[in-house]
Amino acid sequence: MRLFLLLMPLLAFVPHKYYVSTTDMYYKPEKQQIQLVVRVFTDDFSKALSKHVGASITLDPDNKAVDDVEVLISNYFKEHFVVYGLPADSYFSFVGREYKQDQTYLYASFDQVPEMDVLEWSNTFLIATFPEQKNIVTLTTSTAKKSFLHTQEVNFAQFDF
Amino acid sequence: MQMKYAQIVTTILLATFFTSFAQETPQGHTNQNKFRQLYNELATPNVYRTASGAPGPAYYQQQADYVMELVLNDETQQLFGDQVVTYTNNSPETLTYLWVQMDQNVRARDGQSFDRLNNGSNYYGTQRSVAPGFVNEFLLNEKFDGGFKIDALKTTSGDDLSYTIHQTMMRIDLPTPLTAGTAISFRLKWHYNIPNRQFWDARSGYEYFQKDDNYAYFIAQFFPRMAVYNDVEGWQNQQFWGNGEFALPFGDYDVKITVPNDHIVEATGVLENRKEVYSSAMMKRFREAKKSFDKPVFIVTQEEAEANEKSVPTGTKTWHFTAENVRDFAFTSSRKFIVDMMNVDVNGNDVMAVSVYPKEGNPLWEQWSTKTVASALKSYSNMTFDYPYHKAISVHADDVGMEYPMICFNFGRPDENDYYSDRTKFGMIGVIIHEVGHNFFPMIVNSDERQWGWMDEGLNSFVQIIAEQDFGKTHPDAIPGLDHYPSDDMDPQNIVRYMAGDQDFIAPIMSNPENVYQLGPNAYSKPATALNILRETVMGRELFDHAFKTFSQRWMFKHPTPEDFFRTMEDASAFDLDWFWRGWFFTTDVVDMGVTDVKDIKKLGDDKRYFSLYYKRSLENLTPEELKNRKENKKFYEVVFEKPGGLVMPLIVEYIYADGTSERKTYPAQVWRKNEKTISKYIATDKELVGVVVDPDNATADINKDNNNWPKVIEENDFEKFKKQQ
Repeated sequence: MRLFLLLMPLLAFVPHKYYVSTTDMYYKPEKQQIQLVVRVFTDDFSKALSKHVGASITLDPDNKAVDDVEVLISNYFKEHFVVYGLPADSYFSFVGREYKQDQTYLYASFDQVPEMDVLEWSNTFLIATFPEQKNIVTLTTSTAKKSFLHTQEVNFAQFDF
Repeated sequence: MQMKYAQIVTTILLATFFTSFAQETPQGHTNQNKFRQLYNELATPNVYRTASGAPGPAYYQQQADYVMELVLNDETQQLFGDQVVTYTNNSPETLTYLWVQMDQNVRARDGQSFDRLNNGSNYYGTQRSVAPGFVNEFLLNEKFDGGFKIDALKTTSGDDLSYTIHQTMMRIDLPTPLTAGTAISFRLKWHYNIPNRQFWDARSGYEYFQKDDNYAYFIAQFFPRMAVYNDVEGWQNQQFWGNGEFALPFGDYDVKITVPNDHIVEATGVLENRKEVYSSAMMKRFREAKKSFDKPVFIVTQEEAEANEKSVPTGTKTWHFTAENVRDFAFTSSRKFIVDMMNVDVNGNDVMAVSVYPKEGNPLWEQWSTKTVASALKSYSNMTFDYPYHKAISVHADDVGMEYPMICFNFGRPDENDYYSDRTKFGMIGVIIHEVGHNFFPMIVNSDERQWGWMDEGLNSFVQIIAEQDFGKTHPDAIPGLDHYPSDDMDPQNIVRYMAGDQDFIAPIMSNPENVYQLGPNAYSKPATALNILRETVMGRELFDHAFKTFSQRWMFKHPTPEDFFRTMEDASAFDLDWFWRGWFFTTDVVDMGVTDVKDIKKLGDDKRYFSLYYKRSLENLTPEELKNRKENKKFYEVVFEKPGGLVMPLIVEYIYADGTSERKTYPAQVWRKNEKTISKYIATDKELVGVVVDPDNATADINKDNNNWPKVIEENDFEKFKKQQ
């Protein structure tokens, strides 16, 4: 019977069970780096990660039964946050994670990134698990700050310098 | 005399200065000062509502009393009602028609509520709220037939009354005008198909449990309810579109609810026939619960509820409730319910904290629901007035938080394996505190929710912070590993992301809830954060709490407007807050203050500024004794501050000296009164000033930290900070 999990803000209390992640993306040409901070709800991310690896994973506290959660998260990140048009010697580094209340903060970077005329990326975090998922990416460059919305229908974004 | 002389000199000098540079014909302007009075924004005080923010000598409010007989059909999921409404016109005017709210019509087949929605990809904050309407319209073979069916509308002597239904509002044309001070009674029979709550994302309806083939009913907005008539809106008959909640007059209720005889019911009001509807075991446990002030007592256990799930009703049972001076009535009914209760001592009054939940709510609900209700009642009572009703019920319904007098529906459900995350647990405790808190705002301090979402949601979310902190202190076992309850709206930094966002999708707090882009921050978080900043950083707890309590008590069981709140907060505190209300509530301005420069002024006395004139003359005024003992400051600095943000706020500064000591100084917001772009402050000290930090505790929701330090520090972003720790 349960057709939709979608929650509108018509409740007298807006529950936190809306499916939104927020990402800060910093473009730092002087460091040849794109820096990323992705904030996801820990319970939702646990589900998405479990689905991704086909095993039940509980984060916060980490499920010790699963070997090297860090590597699994890193793989998930790399697969679901893709930056296009980078040269072959650019590489992805997963820096780490921390739990803050009900959210998990994920830190990663793309390194050896040359000067770009255009930035193109897609963010499909959690969307395969939660069709209502919305991912908001805020890009900060030395001169601009702009937000982009990623959904099941539209998960590609482009920024021209 | 000497000071007077100096003032005159200064005035003349300044006048010369400003006029000598005027090349063109000067163009005037209206008062744009951030501290100007709020007279343009606020309604003029009158005999109904005074300039002090209190109800005036001619204040009145209407009364609507209801006698209702309800029948719940669990086979067809329908509700039938037969109600006699007595409406008393306490206004000085004569009314020729009445407006009645028909909230169920929001789901009528010809309803326009879902037609208004934009099916395209909206801004993220507004969400794509199209699913229920879309599915109902295009995917179901048979469209849901929602909305009220009127079976009869008659005078009490049996004559038909003429009425017109316009969407969610019904106008009843009175056969004879209702003059001031008189009352009219009419009888209304109706029924409607109860909607599936989750399908419709509705505030009320049923939840169907497939596993045991049972329904749980969360019934509200279920009867035609009188609209509010008052001195500010006339009839408050804005349509119910979905976001703007309700405006309701107070009244007395006598309600008989007939349900299958294996259902457990809870509702607004005193249960008049408890002995008839409770088993003897339940009665015995109820009496035990009345004596238990520290732990909940089960009235219906999970074991009994699970047995009940398999029962087949053998008839019906009628539950009889009465309530005085409430603005609404709601109830819940199911054979699935577990019930527990605990008595609460609210400053000497007994209040029963009640929880009602299906087994799906456990193992979470039996642990925390009733204790949370009890804690919330105490905290809110301390901030406002003693909770005046005899009970407060928390009912578990999935994915919703919704409030009614004495009863509320709350989310927080473990998964199939009984697992729940911290997010689920804190979400549940938070929502229960919030919805129980709504008993105070707007159930008792009865603001117009249809018009102003923030007046109940914002005030309530603000007190919620305090109630959550109290709960964390009294229930450390609920927050293992944390030193305080994680309240969302407590840290001013948490609102920065919203306030610094795209201005195209931000509305002032003083907006109708149907017109805002992001209802959550707009009606809940921003006003809650603003009031918390007002309390902690601007006014201080003592002055704020007295004024807030004064507002609550003045408007208890009455209908306040935003003006009444703004004015009372000032009237009871001697704090001119027009600048605060204007900035935070009437605009979408942001806080951004910073320090731009520190100048070393070596020879203060010789400085050829106006300043030196005062300085010298002040020295001349000292007695020889004072001169002899005066401090010999070795260092003088001029510190220059800037305010690129539109909001004016107190300027909190930390001065750091070479010897490692530091000094805090809070300049009132009025420091920006004459120049809201840049100001200077002189510092006289023995020590060398080596650093200046603006807003060192992040207490003002400053959206840009890059200008908060001297020497300049470009704040590292979250990524760089994290990487450094690794």
